[in-house]
Amino acid sequence: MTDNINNTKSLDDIFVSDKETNINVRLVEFEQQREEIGEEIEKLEEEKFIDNETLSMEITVS
Amino acid sequence: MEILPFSIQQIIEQCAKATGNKSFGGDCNKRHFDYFDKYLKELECKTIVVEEDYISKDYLENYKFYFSSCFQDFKRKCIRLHFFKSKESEKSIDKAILADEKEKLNENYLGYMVLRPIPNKEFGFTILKTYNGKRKFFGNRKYEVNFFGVKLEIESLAFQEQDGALSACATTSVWSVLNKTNYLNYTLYKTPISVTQDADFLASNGSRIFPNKGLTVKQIGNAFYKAGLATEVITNKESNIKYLEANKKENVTPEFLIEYQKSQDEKYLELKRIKRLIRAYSPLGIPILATIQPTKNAGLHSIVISGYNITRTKELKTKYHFELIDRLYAHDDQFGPFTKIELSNSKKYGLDTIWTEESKENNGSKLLSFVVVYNKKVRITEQSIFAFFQTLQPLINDILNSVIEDDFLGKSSRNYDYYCIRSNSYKEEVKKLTIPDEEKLKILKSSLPKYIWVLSFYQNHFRLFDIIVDSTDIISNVIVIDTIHYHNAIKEGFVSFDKKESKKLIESTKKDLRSRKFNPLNIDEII
Repeated sequence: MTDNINNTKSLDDIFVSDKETNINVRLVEFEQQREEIGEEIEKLEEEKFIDNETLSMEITVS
Repeated sequence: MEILPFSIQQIIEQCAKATGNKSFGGDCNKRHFDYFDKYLKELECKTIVVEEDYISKDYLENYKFYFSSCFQDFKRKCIRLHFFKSKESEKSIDKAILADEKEKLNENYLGYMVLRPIPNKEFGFTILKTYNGKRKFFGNRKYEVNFFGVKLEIESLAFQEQDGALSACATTSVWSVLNKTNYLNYTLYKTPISVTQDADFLASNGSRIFPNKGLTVKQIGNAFYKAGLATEVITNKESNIKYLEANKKENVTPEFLIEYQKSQDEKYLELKRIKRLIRAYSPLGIPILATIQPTKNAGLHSIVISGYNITRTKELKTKYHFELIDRLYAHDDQFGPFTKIELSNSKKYGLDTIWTEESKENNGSKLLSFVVVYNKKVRITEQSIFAFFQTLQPLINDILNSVIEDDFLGKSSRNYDYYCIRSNSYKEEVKKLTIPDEEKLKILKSSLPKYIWVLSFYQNHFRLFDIIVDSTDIISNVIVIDTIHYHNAIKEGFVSFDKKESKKLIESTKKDLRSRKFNPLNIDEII
């Protein structure tokens, strides 16, 4: 979607080898994301509603 | 054939001629004239070529069914106006036709407009070029035009105004969508009358359906179903209805009515959801039908969204790519093709249509529902896939973070995109990507379902990792069928991911998938 934006760096520039991050630090980050996403997904549930009143109205503007 | 210099006055005069009135009997102030004037000037139109006695299939069917039995004489034939951005004369056009100067004509060709002999409802089958630029017109298709024996080509989406007898705005919207699905070989060609007939036998209140005053969303669904397509109807969320349910009829007081009116005002699709749905389904290439309330207290109206524009930035600061959509383009039968819809959080309902763009009030129009149309094999919906995608993100992010420089791991730099697409179109995309050949061949040579969901992880503008999901399965069985690593370092990150050390992360993700009714075994397919 963002295909035509010029970048000065290439994909090769962003990687690093032998990177080590403590599992506890990773877990904190993981749980934080999980919590935020859990709230987002709860909101998605509200969207399952279908408003029959609007759907049964005739679309008539002329 | 007649050659005229372009001006809207010339179009008005041709409308009068088409309807058989010596002096124009219709309303010269109707919105279309103003819109077409601006639109064609923007396309730098210089010349109109008038094709008389043009037979339009759409109008002919309507004539046969309705207009031929009216007491007033309606003509059987139409006028077709061709538009060119070059200055032409009869001599230059004759020369181009005789020499079959297809390329030269095509270069300057802007499209055509059929004028029906129906007073006040003149605008029939119309295809016009879109403006230049980086807008994405996912709903457009190629049309072949026979210009006095010369075959021209144009990319557009057909538009026509409702005729007030056999089609209202809802019918013309369905008709525009079916014009694209016909091109994709999903459906047969449908004229407006066949669309209305497919929608129902009777109007929703039990009255006859012709003359047609409109359709309900269910009738719109019927028309698509009869054409062989599946529909997904999306409306506003439930907050206002919860309120109504809590209040019984005996509680109807002036205060209640004020609250009720407020709850009615809250009935609209939120901006974020509009953007999500457009991004997710637009790669299927089928225009999306929308129901709007153009202005406060107005009746419902139907439009067809066929394009969008995105904000282009050097630094991607949005979490999802759909948030970059800042404008939509829609056919509105009360104005013309490709009318602009500005998306903005500053508007009360998140958008401004052509109906409200000049209004000083901050209300804007309301978008009440979407009717998304697709092939029957698309079964997993955007809502399910969005929940599935989000559930996977913490674990996949952990793996991706393990191979990316800390300098590149700004909080807002991980971003995501997801969309539904034909697998063959996705393979075309993959062919153009700069990814390891091994990954490319893996996808190109694999057997994929006809429609897939693609879930992409990005770091700033760099695409890192795609998850491919089968869209033809059942919702409780969302199945990951493949993945693409955009760099060997990412692949290595997945290979060296220590499952023992990360057991808690894996188990938590599986638990989340299970609780959201997704198959937890997908994790084993990805890592």
